[in-house]
Amino acid sequence: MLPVNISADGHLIDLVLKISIGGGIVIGIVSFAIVLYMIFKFRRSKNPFPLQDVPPLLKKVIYIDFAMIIFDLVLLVTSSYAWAYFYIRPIDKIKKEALQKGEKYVEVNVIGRQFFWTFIYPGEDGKFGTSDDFKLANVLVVPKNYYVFLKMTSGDTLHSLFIPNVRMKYDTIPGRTTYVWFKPTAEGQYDIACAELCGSMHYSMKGIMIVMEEEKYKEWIKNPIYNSEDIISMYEFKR
Amino acid sequence: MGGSNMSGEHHREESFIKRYIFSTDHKVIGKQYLITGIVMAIFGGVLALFFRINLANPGFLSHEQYNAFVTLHGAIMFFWVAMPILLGGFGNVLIPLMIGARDMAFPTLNMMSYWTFFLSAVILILSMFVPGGAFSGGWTVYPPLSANPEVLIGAKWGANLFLLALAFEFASMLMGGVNFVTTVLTMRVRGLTFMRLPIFIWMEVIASLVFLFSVAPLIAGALMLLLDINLGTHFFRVEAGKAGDPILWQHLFWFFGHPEVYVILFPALGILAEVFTTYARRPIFSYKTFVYANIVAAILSFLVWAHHQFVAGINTISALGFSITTVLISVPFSMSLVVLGLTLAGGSIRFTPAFLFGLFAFLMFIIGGLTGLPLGAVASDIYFHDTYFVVAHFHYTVFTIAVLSSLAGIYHWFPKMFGRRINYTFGKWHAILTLVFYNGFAFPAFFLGLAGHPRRYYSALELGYLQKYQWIHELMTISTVLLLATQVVFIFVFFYSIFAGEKETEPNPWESTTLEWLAPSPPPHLNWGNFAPLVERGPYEYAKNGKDIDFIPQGRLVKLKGETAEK
Repeated sequence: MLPVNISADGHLIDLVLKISIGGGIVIGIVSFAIVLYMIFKFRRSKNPFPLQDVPPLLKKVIYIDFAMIIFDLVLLVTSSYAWAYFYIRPIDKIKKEALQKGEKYVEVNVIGRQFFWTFIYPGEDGKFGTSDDFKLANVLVVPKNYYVFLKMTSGDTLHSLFIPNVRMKYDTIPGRTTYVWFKPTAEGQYDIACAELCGSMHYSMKGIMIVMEEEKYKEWIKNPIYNSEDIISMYEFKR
Repeated sequence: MGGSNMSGEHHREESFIKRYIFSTDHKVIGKQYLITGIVMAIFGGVLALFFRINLANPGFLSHEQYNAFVTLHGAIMFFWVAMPILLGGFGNVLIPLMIGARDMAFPTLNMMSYWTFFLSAVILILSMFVPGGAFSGGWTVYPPLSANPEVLIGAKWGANLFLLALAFEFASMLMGGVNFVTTVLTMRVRGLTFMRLPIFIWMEVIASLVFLFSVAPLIAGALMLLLDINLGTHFFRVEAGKAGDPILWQHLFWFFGHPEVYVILFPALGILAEVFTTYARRPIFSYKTFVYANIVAAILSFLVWAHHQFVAGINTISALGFSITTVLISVPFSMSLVVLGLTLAGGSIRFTPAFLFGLFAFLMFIIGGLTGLPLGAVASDIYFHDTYFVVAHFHYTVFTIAVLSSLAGIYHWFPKMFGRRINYTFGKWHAILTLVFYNGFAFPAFFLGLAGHPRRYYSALELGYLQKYQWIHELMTISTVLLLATQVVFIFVFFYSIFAGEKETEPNPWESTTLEWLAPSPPPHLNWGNFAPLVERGPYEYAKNGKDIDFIPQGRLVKLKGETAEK
């Protein structure tokens, strides 16, 4: 039921999701089987007097504790690696590495407010604070196969930018700056949600991320259209 | 055993008010807590019913009502249901009986504790009817939303009364906690060493200590929050040029809030230990492992709080540290559960209602524990944080604690508390139906979480990718209605059984070993009359020779010479 992953690095998160849930399912099924076996085998009608000792085979159940420790360690190693990859490396270093690898990136500033997202673009020159900056409400347009760096803050209360398809989520906090970055690899439109209770209309604080081919994006940013439906019809998107 | 002699010896003429309302008798106070907790559970359940109907059928409530009901439901189930039932209720009734004392160490403080709690419940309910409406900023009360009436209606008087109610509740539980710890430390009967204490007593003491040590930072935080709301200070509020820190509240809240989960978990595990040993007729698999593992878990519980804040703006390296402690806390808990599970091995299991509830609670704890790992592992929490996966996980832990384990305890100790029985057949059906409907609402939430459904959403129909899962919400709502209907029948049967259930004259109907089963049912004021219990062995002497001697009580009653119980 996971939404399609369109982030170049999203498989790292998906791997941790699979390990953490898969390991839990295995240990859970084994535990349930043992408990059900015991209550069936040691029911009063079949076993009218309790045994004086636990059957030696069942004593081996304590190995579940060791299985748990191994599971924990595997989970911690993969999870910590993925976390370090996304959030411990400084943003500047990630940008520099991307450039060294010949990759390209875009930067967009994000402000969360009750109950809409504002996406601020540097415009064609790629620099914030110049006259060609422009803002979009609830629409985030990004080029395919570019790194996308979102520099986020909030204008009132806490919000949390959540884009399930790129497996990214981070709170926006008034008075602070937080980051989300990812590299979308598939064209299309994807939902953006707010994941931190921000007031009465929290559930309706939604945005759309539109991922375009590089050429279309370059065309769009020269002459930006602000409305998501117009963008979609103009650039002939398939859902 | 002479049960009838003991009860009649010290008649004291007391008014109805002194005996049943402003009573200092630990059993009466315990029952007051238990019944208040059950009444608040009805209230919290009805709130859940309303917002679940809204999720199946958006528009049933207003947006503010929806958020307020979700907020109150969470707070009520934690602080006005789980705590009063598991600590105030079972703790008060059972601690003196299980350690052979005649009452708590501070009976008057105990009475004040209950009435402070009662006042807190009244204030909480009043908070729904103040200008601006009930507080709707979530039970975690995150600022700046909770601190700024400009961004949240109800962040003024609703929030003030909500915080005031919490303050009284904490004051009440502090009085109770001090009382529990002091009573167990100083009033154990002769022969009852620490390592002979019933597991339930250990768990109540550990829970009380965790509560006492964790609550102070939250009280400091709540005071700052009240100043922010009412005097416009900027501890947590952020406005141009006046930068408070909203994250600070999250640290103060969760430094208390996470240990708080274990405050209610430990007594629930204690109930399971008593129930499993009694009905499986086996001693606990490893007493020491169980006690030490839970002490380790209690200490670790102070080091995991920021796992609620992984993507909330905390230092990303410290997030890694909190992830490690969080994942590792699964080790002592898995040890506890293995010990509980192996207590069934080789037993002769009696499938009473109490056992069924205990068994179901045990199985659901396994699910609840294992689904904590994807949330504790920091990378998977990026995706799952604040989604329905969290909702599912904490219903598999907290519902299991507050409802399944409490019901196991209610069915187990009901004859002792009230001298009557709850109908057996009813109890079994109650357990089975509760399990089925509970899973019907809680399990589908895992799938919503996988689909990326954020929690605290008024409707799933707004966001495109969630629309196709509306049927899951409908299924969950139907299950909730059925679950609540089952509990309504139970509550009727419960009160009927208190007054008109089948009389239970045998003091020890389940053939259990711990001291409370030596007292008459219900125990008289001061519990033991002209007798005193004497403890001679450990608490779980079952399966003695595999045939005729099935169990040996932990102690026996000795007649007092020349003294009276009144002393």
